[in-house]
Amino acid sequence: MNHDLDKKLAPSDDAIASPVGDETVILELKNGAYFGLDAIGTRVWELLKEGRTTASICEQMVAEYDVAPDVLEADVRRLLAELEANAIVVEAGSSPD
Amino acid sequence: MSAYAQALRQAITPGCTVIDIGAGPGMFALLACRYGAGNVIAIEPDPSIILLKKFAQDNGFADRIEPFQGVSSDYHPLDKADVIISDLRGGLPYFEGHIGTIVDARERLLAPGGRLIPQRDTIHIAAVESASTYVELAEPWSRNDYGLDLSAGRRFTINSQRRSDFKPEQLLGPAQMLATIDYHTVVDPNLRASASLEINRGGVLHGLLSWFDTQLAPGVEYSNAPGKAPLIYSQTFFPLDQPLSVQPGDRLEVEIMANLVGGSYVWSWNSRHLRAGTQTAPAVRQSTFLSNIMDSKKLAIRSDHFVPPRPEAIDIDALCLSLINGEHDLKTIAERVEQQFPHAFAGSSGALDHVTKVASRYGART
Repeated sequence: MNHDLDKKLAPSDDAIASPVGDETVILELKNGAYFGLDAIGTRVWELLKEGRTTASICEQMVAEYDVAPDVLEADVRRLLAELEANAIVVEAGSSPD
Repeated sequence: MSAYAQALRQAITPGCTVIDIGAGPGMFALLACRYGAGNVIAIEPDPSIILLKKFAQDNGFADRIEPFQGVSSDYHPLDKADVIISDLRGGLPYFEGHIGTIVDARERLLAPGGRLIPQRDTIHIAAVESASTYVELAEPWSRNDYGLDLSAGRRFTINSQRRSDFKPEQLLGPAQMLATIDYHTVVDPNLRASASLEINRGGVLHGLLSWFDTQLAPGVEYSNAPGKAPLIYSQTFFPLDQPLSVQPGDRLEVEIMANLVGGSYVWSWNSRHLRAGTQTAPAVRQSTFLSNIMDSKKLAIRSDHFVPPRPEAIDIDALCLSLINGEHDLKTIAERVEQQFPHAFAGSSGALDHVTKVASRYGART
């Protein structure tokens, strides 16, 4: 199995997420950067907060949205990589700095 | 005020140089002269500093006080100060540019061996009971005379902080020291600290209460703790998401963060209630960031990927700025701008008003 898909990510202690309609705005407290999630990104965020692996998130999203699985998986992995690069999410169980 | 006067009197030596940051109309500066300072620079961006010139004349200090209207980071003297005094705090020392201003002043403006007033602040936190305060925050969203569901608004008030004066008997247990800021050494303007609050009487826990003790000079101190003489700071109340029934022996584990973002602090408070060592409910995460009502369209323009369109307002201001070159008066600039953009202004007075604002924004001065 692809290691990335087995990964379990969790919101960073330094990220605060605020619902704005059906979207989400996240503030990363350490660098003061804002990050916006559209409605689909918000759904990924909700599933991530449930403690799911990347694979599980993709599986659930495929069930909910009319999109080809490979396209969805690429989009989800891209989003999670961007969130991780911006310190919005960390590997689940990792300690804060 | 009297504590600051006492600290100044202790710190000042005859003929010394004093800098007063955030001087307002200049009380500390006047006192510094009264106590023997030879040279006093009063720094204040607000126009109230203009009063100081008259106060200085009326008190015989005009030759010793230099008002500087601006921020201290824009002040670049030839000589450094022996004493730097300030009070830039809000309800707590983590307030806007307070810490950053003192760090900059300490590093650029203070002579070796010079004295800072204040020297140190110690922040405390306690669990507190206050039904009246909590009802004010939560009630309007929970209950109204019209049967309307306004519960969606509750999040915005329950995630805000409030300054008020509490009584010692409202505390549910002993306070804990949360953090100390030593102004001689502080660098990081942010706070991240934890406390384990013991509950020693039964009641309802409505939130966390924070205050600070300050040392202005050796032996010169004051505090805005509950029960002390009321001060302008009051105490700062952080409500819990839901009130908690507590009994002696319970603990509330809290983590508090204050992060400076864009010039203002975002406060976050996380709490866990423990009874007999066992957590009674999921940990709760709150933040003043969640008290902001946000407009997704306005937020979109903050994204790195946003491509801003070019509105006419930019062309108008670009013309203004090109004409602000030391050669044209404001009337001439306004006439040229109005000529090129006649539909943009309600007459020549509108154009002049706009040009004046642009010039002021960029600090154009004689």
